[in-house]
Amino acid sequence: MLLPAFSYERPAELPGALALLQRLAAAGVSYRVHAGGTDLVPELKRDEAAIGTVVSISRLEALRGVRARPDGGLEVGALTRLSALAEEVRERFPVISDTALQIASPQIRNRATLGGNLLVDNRCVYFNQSPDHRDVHAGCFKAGGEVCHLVPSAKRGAQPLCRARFVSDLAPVLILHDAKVVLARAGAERELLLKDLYAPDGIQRTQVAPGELLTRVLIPASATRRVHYLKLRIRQALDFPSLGVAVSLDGKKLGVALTGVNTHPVVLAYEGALDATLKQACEDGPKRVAPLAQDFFSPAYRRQMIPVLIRRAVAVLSKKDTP
Amino acid sequence: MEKRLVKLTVNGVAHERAVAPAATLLEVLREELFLTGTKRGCDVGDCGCCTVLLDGAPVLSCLVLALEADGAEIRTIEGVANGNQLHPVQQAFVDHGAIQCGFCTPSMVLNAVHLLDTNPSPDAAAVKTCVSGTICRCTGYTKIEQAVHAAARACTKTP
Ligand SMILES: Cc1cc2nc3c(=O)[nH]c(=O)nc-3n(C[C@H](O)[C@H](O)[C@H](O)COP(=O)(O)OP(=O)(O)OC[C@H]3O[C@@H](n4cnc5c(N)ncnc54)[C@H](O)[C@@H]3O)c2cc1C
Ligand code: SF4
Ligand code: FES
Ligand code: FES
Repeated sequence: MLLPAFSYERPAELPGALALLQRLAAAGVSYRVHAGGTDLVPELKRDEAAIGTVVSISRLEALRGVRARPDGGLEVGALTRLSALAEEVRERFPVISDTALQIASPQIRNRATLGGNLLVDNRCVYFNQSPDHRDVHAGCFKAGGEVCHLVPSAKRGAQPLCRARFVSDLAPVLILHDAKVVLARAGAERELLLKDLYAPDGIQRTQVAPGELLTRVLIPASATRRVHYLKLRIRQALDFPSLGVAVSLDGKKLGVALTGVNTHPVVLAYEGALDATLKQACEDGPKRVAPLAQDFFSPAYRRQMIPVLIRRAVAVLSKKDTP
Repeated sequence: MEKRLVKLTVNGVAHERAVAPAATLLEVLREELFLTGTKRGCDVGDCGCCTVLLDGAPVLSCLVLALEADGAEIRTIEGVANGNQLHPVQQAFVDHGAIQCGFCTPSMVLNAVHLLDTNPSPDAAAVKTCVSGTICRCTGYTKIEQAVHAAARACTKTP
């Protein structure tokens, strides 16, 4: 599969990169940010998006690595590779490390970055395919067309809703650590809770605005609560999550974050006696998601597995609590 | 689009080539440098057959733009043997019947070479992780895992 022609920029410094993105955004040039490229390169090979310029941020060394923050928390550069992330946070946040090691394959983790994982494209069996495969069907909403093959009754309307599913493994885990992301543009920065980064639509996907770059992920020191992540998939390597369940326990607080079964991560929070909160989470979880027939496992099975994995994760966390 | 210069050191030999931004490292290795030991399977990251070592770490050359590898040290399967002397990993693959059609072998061998360089006595889990990013349609993996364990023993014996 050949890549389409594009122009390529690889700025050496962050301010230069942000100025370039601002220029491209202002001129209306279709550009894409390239971090590790493990999601973007296949996407471009499959011709999923019209592309003018690829802006590679891989030389921005300032965005690579894990640093301690004055408040005792961690700051992780968006360009930190998943293999390096797994090494560097193993002591402080073993669950983040274990989750990173469940993504894709060793070779991919040596290129793939944390920022790219949080911004990975949503997946749909009808869209993320070679052009030949895609051309069998009429172009769907995400391709600018008039239909959604997953939800044929949906009308395009002014705001078409694409139901391609959210698949990042690290997002649910970091959300339960109360992580924030820093979005930078020329001359300014904003901080957002990670859980607020996402949009409920498989086309827009995130709140990252034209000209913006995700530069850092902030994990507060208070996030020492126990978190566990379980990933449902057919093979224990290479497969995206058919369902991913992250669970946190913190005194009387129970948190759940789900991936793979909706257009964005679904977050649930409870407070009270564990028996009651757990029962409630197991009831709510399957109701709050909208899995569609876009995976090896049926939507019904993925729904049924939500309470199973929540209970399993709570069992693991409870065991860790009692020394 | 306009070609750019890229400098690569491949198996110890320095190369400089003008490449289009859309050229992948895999295409440059195979089509410009004629190093066809690196295989093109799926071309989108699923099969692992295009693995090379980039600055020492296994990566998928079909997902790396050639320009992203500017200045890098690349090791391909052609750079593993020492002349006619097979690397212990290669010898173990031959001895254990860990090669059938051979399409996945360059990737399996490079991943194993990297594993033994970084972890001379890998346990079963480490070996499974090492083969997990490459699809083998022939062997069923068992013999490949046996070969990697055997290579680890052979490497720790030779001083
Ligand atoms: C075979 C295979 C299996 C995979 N399995 C999994 C899996 O199990 N789980 C999973 O979560 N992912 C999986 N992936 C997807 C992907 O490899 C990872 O999500 C990876 O972390 C993406 O990181 P990257 O740096 O390569 O992203 P890139 O490809 O560089 O970028 C991904 C997207 O994010 C944007 N982007 C990246 N960084 C920034 C930034 N700093 N600021 C603004 N925008 C940015 C890009 O424009 C692009 O749209 C898999 C991919 C393959 C090919
Ligand atoms: S869910 Fe989105 S990508 Fe899938 S067919 Fe519908 S519009 Fe297209
Ligand atoms: S050819 Fe690169 S992973 Fe298949
Ligand atoms: S030996 Fe044929 S693919 Fe592995």
